[in-house]
Amino acid sequence: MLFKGLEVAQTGMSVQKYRMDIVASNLANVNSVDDKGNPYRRKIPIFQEILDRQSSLALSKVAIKEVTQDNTPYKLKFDPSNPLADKDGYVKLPNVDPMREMVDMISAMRTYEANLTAFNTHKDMLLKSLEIIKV
Amino acid sequence: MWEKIDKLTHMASFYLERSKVIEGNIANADTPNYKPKDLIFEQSVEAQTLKLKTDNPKHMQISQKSAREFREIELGDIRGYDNNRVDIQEELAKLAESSIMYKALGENLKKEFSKLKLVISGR
Repeated sequence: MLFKGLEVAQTGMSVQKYRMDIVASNLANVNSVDDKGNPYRRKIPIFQEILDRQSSLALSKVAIKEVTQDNTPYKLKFDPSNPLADKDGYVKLPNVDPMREMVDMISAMRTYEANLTAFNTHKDMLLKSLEIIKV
Repeated sequence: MWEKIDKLTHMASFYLERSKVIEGNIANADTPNYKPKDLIFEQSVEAQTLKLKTDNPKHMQISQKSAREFREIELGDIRGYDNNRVDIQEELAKLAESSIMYKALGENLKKEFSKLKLVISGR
């Protein structure tokens, strides 16, 4: 029970780091097609609260429930010379919006920092409590 | 007289060992197929103590706690690439936990010894 707060903050950090990985994946695949020639779909992580039943306080950790896809329509670009173009000359491009990914990235970073601050504060409190024993 | 000190040193050595195991995990954070390990307290089997013959219950016995009452376990799966299951945040959190406990035990030990010293030397 002593270190539950640290564990909770740690899961927060892990999850945000994973979210950051997904942002990187989305940005890297901003022009990609998959192995069947379909454009890449933006990936979205879904977070899930994990209630800790051992503790009397309702402490919740967080975890990644699943990674889903964004099903919004693909962007179309007129590019008749592209081998993947349809009969009207349009190419489907992934539904990744770099601007949105940037916002997600900053959000992930700030949340990570917040969790890290919570972690460090908790750690400092525990270390401070050791001074009780010193006379 | 030494029971408390024994117990404290025993716990302290557990946390010291545990932080070594965790450092091993961090070192292998990029090793493919690596599974992180952790140290847990084994259900304490009373170590076979060498009984000394005494004629007074106040006489001391040799305490022979075996140092190996903890067991290394492999942790279940956490997501990862290249089948590596080390979560660096988790390992660092555990390391912080171990070091805090180690410090706490160290302070307690110091306290115990200062009590002994007080008894021996007077004030």
